[in-house]
Amino acid sequence: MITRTYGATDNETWWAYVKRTGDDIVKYRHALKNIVTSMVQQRYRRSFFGVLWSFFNPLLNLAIMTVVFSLMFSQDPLKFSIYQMSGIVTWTFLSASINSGTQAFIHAEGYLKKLYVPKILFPLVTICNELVNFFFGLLGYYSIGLIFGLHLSRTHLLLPVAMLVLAIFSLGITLILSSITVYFRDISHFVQVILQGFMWFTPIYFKLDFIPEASRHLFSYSPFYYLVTLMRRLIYDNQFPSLAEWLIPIGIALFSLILGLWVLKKCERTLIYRL
Amino acid sequence: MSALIDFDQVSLRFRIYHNRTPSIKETVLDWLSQRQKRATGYTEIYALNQISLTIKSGDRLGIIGRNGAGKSTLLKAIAGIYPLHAGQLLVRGRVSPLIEMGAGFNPELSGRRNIYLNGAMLGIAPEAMAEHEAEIVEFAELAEFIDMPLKYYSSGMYSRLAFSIATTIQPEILLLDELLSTGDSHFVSKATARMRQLFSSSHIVILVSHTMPQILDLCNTAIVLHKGKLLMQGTPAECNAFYTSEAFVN
Repeated sequence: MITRTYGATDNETWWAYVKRTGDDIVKYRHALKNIVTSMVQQRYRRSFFGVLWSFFNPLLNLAIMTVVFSLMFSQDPLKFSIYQMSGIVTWTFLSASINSGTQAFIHAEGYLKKLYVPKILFPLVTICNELVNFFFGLLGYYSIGLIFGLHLSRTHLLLPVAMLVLAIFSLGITLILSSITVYFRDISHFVQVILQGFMWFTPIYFKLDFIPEASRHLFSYSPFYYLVTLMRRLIYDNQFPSLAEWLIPIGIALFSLILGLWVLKKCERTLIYRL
Repeated sequence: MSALIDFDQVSLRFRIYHNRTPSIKETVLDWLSQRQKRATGYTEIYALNQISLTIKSGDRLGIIGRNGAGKSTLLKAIAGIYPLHAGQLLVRGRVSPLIEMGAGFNPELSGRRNIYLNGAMLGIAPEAMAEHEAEIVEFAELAEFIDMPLKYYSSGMYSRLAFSIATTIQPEILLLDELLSTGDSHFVSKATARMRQLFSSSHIVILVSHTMPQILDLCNTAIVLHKGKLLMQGTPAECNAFYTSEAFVN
């Protein structure tokens, strides 16, 4: 028989907290699967073209960007557009999961106030849902890319590892932002603007070579730069990332996760009263 | 080991924030203009005030009290939803909370999918729920509607499904908050019979109800709560007498 003891203070050690969180995720994995499945089904049920959009959207984007950027930069327009697409598909996952993750607890109010559900479930739902979208986005990227000259190599096999690193990073950020949002509801406006800023400090629509050498170091302050580069090495450059190109994004991801768990631990006891 | 709930000097404090949706903008503006703080002002209310209470296996506890007495909060503390402000609470046994209608339901999904969702929300695997599915549907009398989205259900159908799930999964501790009030009389009598059956297998049932006959009929012990304080503990009849007495009314 399960015994639970509830006390007045949080005297749980950091290690016990991490272990409990892990146990909770295992215990509630069915709930996670159930909620994510229904979210995906609901999104694609409404329209027959649901899944096809993930193909047409990048195709239309490709057409526009090819025209626009072949005028702007002296690059091979098609190849350059595929380069951009690899950045966009990665950026879309990161920004979409952070943007919608900010509201994770606010939207889960109905569950959190009526049932005991581990809080981390809801940020996880967002990330898993966006991972499914990421998957469809990549499907679009590959189908268009292969038609217009993308080559495949063994590096593409490491894609799931890179996706995991990205997911851990966004989970950490989402944990921080969704917790703070309960106390300050207008965080999401700031998040949108800040993400917009980061987007232009990450080589997505352009190559780092285009930037004057003197200001290139500015990009090294954006964590997104390392995450996008990791993905791009694997799915566009067909190069195995260097050790640093692995370790920096992994380090950033783990740091973000630890920070996120720490913030949630701080907020866990008061969060429910502020919803 | 049998089911047990032990409240030791438990207090639970709500802060009613004057501003329900605080924002950074307001916090900064308040700080700049040195005005009274809108974002952080609050009123404190003790929803539970130094409650000490032991509920043992076999107890069918009825909770009596006016609106705002802390009845639902007591259930939510047992379910682990609200962290305590003072004291200690021990809960032994799997809790099946039926505190609010449609907790852990998704109205877009069919009744059948919701059975699994609800189970998963209580940490029960789909394989285990599959064993209960037929019984849940049958008891709720929803066979013809079970594949329809929940949003088309009437409130009675909703509560029948919720009650059926909560009682079929063999909870060790069952929390019921005014749940039977929306069922028709046929279902209420069926549910009452099911509850008696549950009682006989020596679990803890806690029932919050404003329908006094229901408490007198189903419970073997009762408490009276008033403004977060435990005023009286005794048999349902004693508590009922106290609750309706002039001393309490005043």
